Amino acid sequence: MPVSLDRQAVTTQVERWADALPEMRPLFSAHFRELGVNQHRLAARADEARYAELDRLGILFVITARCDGELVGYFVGFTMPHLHYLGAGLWAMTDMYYIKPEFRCGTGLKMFRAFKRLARERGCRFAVTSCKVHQDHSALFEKLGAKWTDKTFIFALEDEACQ
Amino acid sequence: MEAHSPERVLTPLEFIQSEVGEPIEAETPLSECGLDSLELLSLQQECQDKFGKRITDADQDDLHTIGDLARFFG
Repeated sequence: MPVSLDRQAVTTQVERWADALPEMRPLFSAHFRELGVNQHRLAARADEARYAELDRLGILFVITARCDGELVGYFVGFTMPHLHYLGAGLWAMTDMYYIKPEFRCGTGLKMFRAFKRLARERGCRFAVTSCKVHQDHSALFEKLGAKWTDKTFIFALEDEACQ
Repeated sequence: MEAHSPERVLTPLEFIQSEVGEPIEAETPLSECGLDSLELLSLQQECQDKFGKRITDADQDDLHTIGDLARFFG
């Protein structure tokens, strides 16, 4: 449902993990309910200390989407050298992103543009992102200039018979 | 002899309104014109092609409404 006309536009900005975290926490459960693919095996519990450490090291980034100051979405990722492309400079990698459903009309576009901009500003040569199979954003990514290069699969090993 | 008037060129606002496909006020936020991110990006790219002006990342920060988008291309 579109937001009401008296609302301000959604803005995106880069924030520190610790600053955004208190408002991100309440969104984590909705995020996980909508997008988690192993919900019967995993609890939604971010390793906040490790995220904070990566933020301290300058590896983590958090892009927030806000409307009237309210946090309506976030995009968390890392900028770092790629382990198997030594000397290939920095890569921007996606960790997670979420937008409250009622703020989705166009906010995703802003967030992914902000992601590309941040990656450029941090001197990255490549920016990598992904989406869930059940919430496919491929067309948007390709229109933004990305190329589809990988498919990701998860083995749920504890449930598997020997195969 | 009947005079033929040349086909009128749509203004950016008229073009955007025609692309959105329904009457829409210039003050309408882009987030409320019924387009998702992909459709909004397509609209912006069609405007770029039609009016020959490219939207940079920095420009995006100032494009909040249909009118902002129209003025950018105007």
